[in-house]
Amino acid sequence: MFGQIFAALVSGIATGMPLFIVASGLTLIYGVMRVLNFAHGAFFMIGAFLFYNVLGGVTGSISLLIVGLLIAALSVGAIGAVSEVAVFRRLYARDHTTTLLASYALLLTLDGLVQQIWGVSPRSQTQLPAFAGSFQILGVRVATYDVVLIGVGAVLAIGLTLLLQRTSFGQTTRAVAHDQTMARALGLHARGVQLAVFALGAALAGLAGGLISPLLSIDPSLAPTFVVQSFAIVIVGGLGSMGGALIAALLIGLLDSFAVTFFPGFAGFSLYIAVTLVLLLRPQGIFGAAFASREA
Amino acid sequence: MKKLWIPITGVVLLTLSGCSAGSSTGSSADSTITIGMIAPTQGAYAEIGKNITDGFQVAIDEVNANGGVAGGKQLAMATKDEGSSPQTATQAARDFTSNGVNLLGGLFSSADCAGVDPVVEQSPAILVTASCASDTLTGGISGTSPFKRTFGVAVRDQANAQALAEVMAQKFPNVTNYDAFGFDYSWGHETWQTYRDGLTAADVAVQVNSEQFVPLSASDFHSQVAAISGGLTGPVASRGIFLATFGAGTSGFLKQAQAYDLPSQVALIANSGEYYNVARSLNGQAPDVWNSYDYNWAAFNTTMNTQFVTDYGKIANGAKPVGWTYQGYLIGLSYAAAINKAGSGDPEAVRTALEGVSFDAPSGSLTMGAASHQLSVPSVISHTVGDSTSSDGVKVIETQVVPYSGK
Amino acid sequence: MTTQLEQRGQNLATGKTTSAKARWRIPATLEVAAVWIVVGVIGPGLFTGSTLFLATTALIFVLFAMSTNVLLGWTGITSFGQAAFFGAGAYTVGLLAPIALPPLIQLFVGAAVGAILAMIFSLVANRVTGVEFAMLTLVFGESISLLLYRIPALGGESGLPGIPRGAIFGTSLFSDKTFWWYAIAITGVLAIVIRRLRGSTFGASLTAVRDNPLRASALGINVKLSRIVAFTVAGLLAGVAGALYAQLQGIASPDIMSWTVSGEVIIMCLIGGMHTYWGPAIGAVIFTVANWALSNSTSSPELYFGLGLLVIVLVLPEGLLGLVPMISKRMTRRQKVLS
Repeated sequence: MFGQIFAALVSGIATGMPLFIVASGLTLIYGVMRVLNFAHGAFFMIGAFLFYNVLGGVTGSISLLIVGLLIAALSVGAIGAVSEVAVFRRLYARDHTTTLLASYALLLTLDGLVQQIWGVSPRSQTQLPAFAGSFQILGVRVATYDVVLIGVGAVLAIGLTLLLQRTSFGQTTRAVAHDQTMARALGLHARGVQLAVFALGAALAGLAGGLISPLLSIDPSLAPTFVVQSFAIVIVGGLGSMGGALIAALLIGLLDSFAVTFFPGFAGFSLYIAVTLVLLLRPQGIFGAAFASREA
Repeated sequence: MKKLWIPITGVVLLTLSGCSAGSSTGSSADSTITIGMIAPTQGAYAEIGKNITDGFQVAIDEVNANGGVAGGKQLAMATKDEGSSPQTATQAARDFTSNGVNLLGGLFSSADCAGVDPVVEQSPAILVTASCASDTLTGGISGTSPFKRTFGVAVRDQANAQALAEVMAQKFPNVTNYDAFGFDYSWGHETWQTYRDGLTAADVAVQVNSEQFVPLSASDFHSQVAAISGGLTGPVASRGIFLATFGAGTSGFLKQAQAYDLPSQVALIANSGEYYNVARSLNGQAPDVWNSYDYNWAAFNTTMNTQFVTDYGKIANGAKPVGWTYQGYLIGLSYAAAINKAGSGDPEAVRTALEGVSFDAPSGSLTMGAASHQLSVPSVISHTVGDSTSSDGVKVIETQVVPYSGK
Repeated sequence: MTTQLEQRGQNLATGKTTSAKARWRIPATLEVAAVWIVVGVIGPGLFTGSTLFLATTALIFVLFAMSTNVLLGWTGITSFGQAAFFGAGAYTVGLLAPIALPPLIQLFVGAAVGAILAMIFSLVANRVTGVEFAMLTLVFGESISLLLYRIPALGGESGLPGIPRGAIFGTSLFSDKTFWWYAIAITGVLAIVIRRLRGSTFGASLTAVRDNPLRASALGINVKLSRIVAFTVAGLLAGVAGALYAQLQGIASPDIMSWTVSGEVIIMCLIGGMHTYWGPAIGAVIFTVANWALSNSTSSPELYFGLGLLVIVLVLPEGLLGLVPMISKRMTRRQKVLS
């Protein structure tokens, strides 16, 4: 029994951390611009495809892996920047339904584009030998790559929090999130901040795509895979709160893994039950508003 | 606002009439017979759709090169998107019959067939389906097809699982501790049930450790893999994993299982459903898997099979045909044989001719059951492992053909 | 744009239109009836073969889009779960198929199931609004669609096939032409009901809730109750549309419950324009036809569909019908210049 609980605990964290990595960019964008971006899934998918293209399916060394991740993140960041200028910038003043739909339209467009560029055959990214395989702790088998992902997720969470709380960029960003007009009146370059935040959020999706690609079949059906879960994490975590998103992702991962281990019949429902309970009992999300907002 | 309805009616009617105007392209010049293929051309199953239509294309190219059908007529293919719902699939079937194309083929999803079969039943068309092999759609078990105008070339799902159980009971009588992982719908549950019952019938004392079922659209199986990995019991030689999945489900599971070294901790991974395309996509890293489906290119040592593999390789960059390609190919061969027998492409004549028609195929002679409307295709058990030195990254270690049981 | 909307809402809320309403009420109903009769009569002549079937599909989506717009356009509620109510109607018909009830009774039961489901949901979810509410609807819709796989009687991936169309007043609905007339009658009656609702005080109160919940509340409108009623009405109409859809298709399948369908019906409202009566209808027709035409003419319909949608969202915030006032304004300006 203890073994099973410990195993479920480990696998829950290992399930949740990739979710956080995917959702972190979405949280950032939502926190500053109040945009829930369906196209985030497409950004993720393009990251996976680009990573595959750079490495040709085989991961030779850690340095190559890092190059691949950088290229995936930077290129997707650039796509994010372009879509901010071309689409989202024009919609910040509009209601959230319009923005949601614009992002859905962007998802369709990018999805179609990916099919045009990469075709319809599924691809597979081979794991770096150093990260392949597993080891045992206290009788529980743990995948090496899960530990890598947990590490990356932790670094991202801390890094992003520091970026937002301790740097001047973070200060400006929070000011813009709080009150755009006021920020502009104070001489802050609101547009530039929005562009930078959107590009950073998209780059995080690209990075996630590259990081998680060795565990998935890379094909055009990948785009919607994490979208619903990521939305749930952003909402459950609370408006743009990085810590909230991390806790929400881990919570969802843990619920899923405990459900799978002990109540298989509930497996698919655990996410929905969690979201419903949090929204009904604490509509502002676990952590409430990280960026106090003018009007939610 | 008041007078708005006039322009609106205009717009509605114009938009709709635009589509009726564009759709009256007749097809049948006297020297060609067109068969309308419905298969997914976009989205998650687009590759499967391409396999089906490519297989069909190879068949009609071969037939045409050998002088055509019914006294020198050529076969031609038209395609429409099956989409991702019965609605798009039935619309495609209706569009074909409206345009005078009444010989139909294809369809990948059983749900789509469940929608299309009754529509075809009320139309002048006939349909030969590709991979709709659930028992409610075919006459495989009762012996009589529920639909007079629909035929099938795929091995029944249950027959494939049953064949796999028989062979695995023989080869791995000591594997009794099973974990099952499958798609959470009737196909997944029934396939696993059939396999389990098949093992039990063959005197294997099956013990089920866990059953994990996931939605068709899922691709993250972390929790399931971890739960299976954490719950393994007994000696390695007694452990088996059964996969009732295909496509991204199988490849996602295997990749995540490899991260947990799961394949090396079990004696057997068995899978019922198309697998070769998955093995191929894994870059030579596919684990050792026993699979049961309608076809493996290495299973048949016949000239016709060699011809099929070569001809398909020409249009597919040297790739090997998979089960879905084979189904498309068999649709082409079935139609060619039936049209020859009927002497024309008249749907009613072809329908009658299809009942009981026999023809040569890569696996030997096949017969379309006169009442079951089911082609007598054998199941192929194949044992494969990833091999980065081979051209498509897969080494076929062993194959075994289990004949059509004809129930 | 917002000021324009507010103005319109204000007019409705303050009853500035009441004098006009007395004059307009009957013509508005007639207008809807006339469109349905014209389309109904011309339809079978204009559309032959499979296009009549496509037109019937479009007609059902017109009703579905109109029902969704009660939330989206009238009340300002975004729901990503409308497919659940549409699907509930369809599955009700699928489950009732063995008893062979008359088609109209099936529609009533489908409507009731859609309405009850929607009412229960909105009673529970009423605590939150905005994006959080949208998220709850998404979660609700996905949970319901997951149930299709967990309850064996609902058929899982294969759905409930083999639904007969039945007969109405002794006439079989089997042929596509009779079914067209049946669908025209049902959707026409409901379209008139929706038109009347829109012009009623209930419609005005929803608009007031949309534009400014605080002010609406100050005016004595029970905001929560209005939202619940709007949600129930939308669920009821979506249930009818779903039931009709199952009768047309002969199958209730799980794909109609997916969140993408909920997204698509919102897109229909948006394409046509959600702040006009006719917008959702136009949007549904264009969406259905474009989807059908693109999937048969290009290898990547998603790309063109997505691009088209982006253009509409960016350039025409009020949808295609937003073009009408824009053009007429430009024309009057030109007339003034000419005179």
